[in-house]
Amino acid sequence: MEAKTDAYFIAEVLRGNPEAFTTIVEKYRQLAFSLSMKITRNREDAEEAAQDAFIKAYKSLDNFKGGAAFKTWLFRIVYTTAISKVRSAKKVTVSLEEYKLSDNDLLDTENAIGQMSAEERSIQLHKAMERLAPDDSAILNLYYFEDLPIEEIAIIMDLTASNVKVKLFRTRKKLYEQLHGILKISESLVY
Amino acid sequence: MKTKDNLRTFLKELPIEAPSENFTRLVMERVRLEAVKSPLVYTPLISSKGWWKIISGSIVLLLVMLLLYEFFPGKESSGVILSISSLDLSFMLKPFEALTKFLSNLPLTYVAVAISVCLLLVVDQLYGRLAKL
Repeated sequence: MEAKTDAYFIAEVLRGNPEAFTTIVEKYRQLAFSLSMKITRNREDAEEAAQDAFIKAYKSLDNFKGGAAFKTWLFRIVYTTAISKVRSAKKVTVSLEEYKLSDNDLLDTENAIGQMSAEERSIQLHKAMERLAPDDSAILNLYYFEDLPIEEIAIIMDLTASNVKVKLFRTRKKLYEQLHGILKISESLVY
Repeated sequence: MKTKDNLRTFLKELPIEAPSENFTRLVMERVRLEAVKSPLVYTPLISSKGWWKIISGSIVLLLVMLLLYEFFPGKESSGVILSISSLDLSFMLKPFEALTKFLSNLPLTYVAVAISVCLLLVVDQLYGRLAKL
């Protein structure tokens, strides 16, 4: 059986068959929730933001021109909805601690992380990502989890491609800086 | 520096967070409410009025072509055309002299193709309306 594309289901919805939207929700719910979770850091808020995003997408379907991929268009809605939620709630705390790392420190941190078990590494990475700003977490999610190209991330986050590259570079460094800080604290607790 | 390659590997190890089981159901409940409140209707590129204008214009063009048929080089006028032209419609054609000169050189096959296309589009529209019933 030939798999039907997003365009088919969008056309069905626009023809007056809202049930066709179920397929789109099923297909993208995981991605939408994942991105929303990286931004809101709270399960309930992430679900709410992702649901709101799908409703906004449904209402704006007739505005979808088909120029960008539907996934990119949907991601943009999820991103802006989640960011708005965070800004209005003002709940997210971001670490203000700065650990200026040299390239050697960065490599040492990476090696230290690399030597950990997968489980321990996940815990530390999760802690470090929690300390980043919402849009920094979002860009890491889009680039590393979703494997999106720079150009698509630029559309989603309303940045230029060069801005995305610079932001990625800085966010990677911030993540390692936070990891370095966490590992240093862990070491000081041990000794 | 290979940190970004390793970072991709490390981040991919993080557990995937899944939405709740009833996520889709909750979204579709809201979608159904929206559908009742303000149903989405597909608006075609050319409206029905637009199509009728196109078809009417094509019919007028055809009539003009038939009236001018008499002026096609080497054409013998039929009885029907003679009776129409006996009404002396040349006063209508005077403002369109340049256009009529162009049209008089146009082969009838062009007109036939234009009418065929219009008929196909009319059938398509009618079929679309019938399908919605």
